[in-house]
Amino acid sequence: MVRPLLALLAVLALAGCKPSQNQGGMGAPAEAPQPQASAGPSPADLPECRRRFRMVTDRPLSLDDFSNLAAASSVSTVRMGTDRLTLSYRAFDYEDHPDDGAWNGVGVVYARGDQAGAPVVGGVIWASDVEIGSSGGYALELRADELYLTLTPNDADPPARCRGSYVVKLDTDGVLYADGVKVGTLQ
Amino acid sequence: MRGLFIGLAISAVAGPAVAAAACGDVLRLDKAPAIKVEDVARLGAEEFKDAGGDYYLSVAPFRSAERPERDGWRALAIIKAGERGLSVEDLGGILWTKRPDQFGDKPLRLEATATKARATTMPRAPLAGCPKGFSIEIDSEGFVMIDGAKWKRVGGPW
Repeated sequence: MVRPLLALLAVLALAGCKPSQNQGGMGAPAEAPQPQASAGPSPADLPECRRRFRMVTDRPLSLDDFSNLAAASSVSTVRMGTDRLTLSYRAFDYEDHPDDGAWNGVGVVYARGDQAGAPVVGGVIWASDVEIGSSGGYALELRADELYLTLTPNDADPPARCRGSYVVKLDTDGVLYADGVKVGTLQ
Repeated sequence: MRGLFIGLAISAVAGPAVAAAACGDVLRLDKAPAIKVEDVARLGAEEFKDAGGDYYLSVAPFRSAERPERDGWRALAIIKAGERGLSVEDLGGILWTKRPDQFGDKPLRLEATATKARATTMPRAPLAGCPKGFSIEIDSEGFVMIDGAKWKRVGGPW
């Protein structure tokens, strides 16, 4: 009865003394890096970035919010051979932006025609638990006559690990979509 | 009949009825504006002037053909007085007018010296009851004046 108990205690003691490969810690001997089977979850296992964004169409900006907007970047296309449609984006300052609880203001996006007084459709884009980065992490593109704003988190920052992007699209009928959901139509 | 002649004579002497408006009836700075995304889409190019130190004044005029309208007022411009590089709140707001017909694409003149920057309305003709118009000024210490009177200091007490 005593011998098996002693053997069990010896095994437990050995297991407890073994330095942890991940924790190291003060005073732990330096170890050569060990090859690892995986550095983390595979890209397919990461959550989708698009779910960490939202667009709010009816939230006005304060003067301070407006002050923190960068100059507009825009991309345009011609609809029906006459009317020019433009999708514009103004990013908030990377370090000084509005916040609403866990949500941080990322930028303002809007679409409009080129006639004076033309309707405008757009909103404020918010993100939670993603790092966009000081470069803004956005792209404005014209693809097959449609206009796209793509926001891609900086995946070098661990909290932002997610896959894919958040996409705002203005189609040739003047319909604005945010993450596939219709936001409004330019009449 | 005699009354009609008397009435016509008075009208001829007085000219068209023009209300003697005070500045507050024709120009108004909303210092805590709610700026809609649609408003942002209707802005023209923003102009900046250094006021000395790290302070600046900027004017972002709305395009004259599509100025936002609220309660009978038309927005002329978003005005900001601020300090570069620090996260202090800018001062300023949206300047509204009841006489948009008196303003062109550049409703304010923005000027600067080595120690201050100033924006002044530029109506086509002096506004009735408000001949001096509206002005805002910031100096190299961050002190902001409106129509020549002390208002606030950017980032701190006056």
